[in-house]
Amino acid sequence: MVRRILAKVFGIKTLEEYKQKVILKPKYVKKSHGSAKR
Amino acid sequence: MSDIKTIKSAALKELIDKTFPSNKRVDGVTDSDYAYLDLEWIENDAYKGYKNWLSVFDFGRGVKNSDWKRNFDCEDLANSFKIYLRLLHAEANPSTMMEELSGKQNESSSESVLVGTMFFNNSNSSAHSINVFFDANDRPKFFEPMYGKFINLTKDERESIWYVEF
Repeated sequence: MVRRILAKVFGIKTLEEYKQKVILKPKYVKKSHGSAKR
Repeated sequence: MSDIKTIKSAALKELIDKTFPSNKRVDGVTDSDYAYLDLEWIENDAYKGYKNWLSVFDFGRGVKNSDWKRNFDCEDLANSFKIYLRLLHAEANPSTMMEELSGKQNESSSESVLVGTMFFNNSNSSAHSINVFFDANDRPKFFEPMYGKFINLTKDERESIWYVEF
């Protein structure tokens, strides 16, 4: 908690912030609704 | 039964042979099946995540403000983007085969995601590496991991593709 507050005050990135930006949920193509727009 | 579009290794090998007849890479398909990824998500979201992933390495900026460097060049960018997408797939689908059998389902049970790396000649004396995807209609889509955009290849470039690996 203290680390999170200090990170916010000093603009330091936390590991949690890094993980949020990096570990994304993949978006797959569904069988019926193909991503054929491109 | 998952409603995610997938392709089995044998079908992918056929598709590669048909789409890239000049390919010389033998056995470039190493997983049993692959889940198709949404291409708009690749360009709009996944690439940002990849750049954030790379940002932990503070090795400075390369050519034209890209991550390209002599010691981290095109094939490194293509390979690392492929690995990043595979890490996301593994993270999003953590259940083991035994756990799946006991009812703990993953969103996708595919061994991998449909992202490849390839090499082609971009001049008489130079070659380049990028990523390749297939859309839902099995058309190849070429992705430049240096800038995070889908690109078109010229006829000569397409006919020079000698290495495709998924």
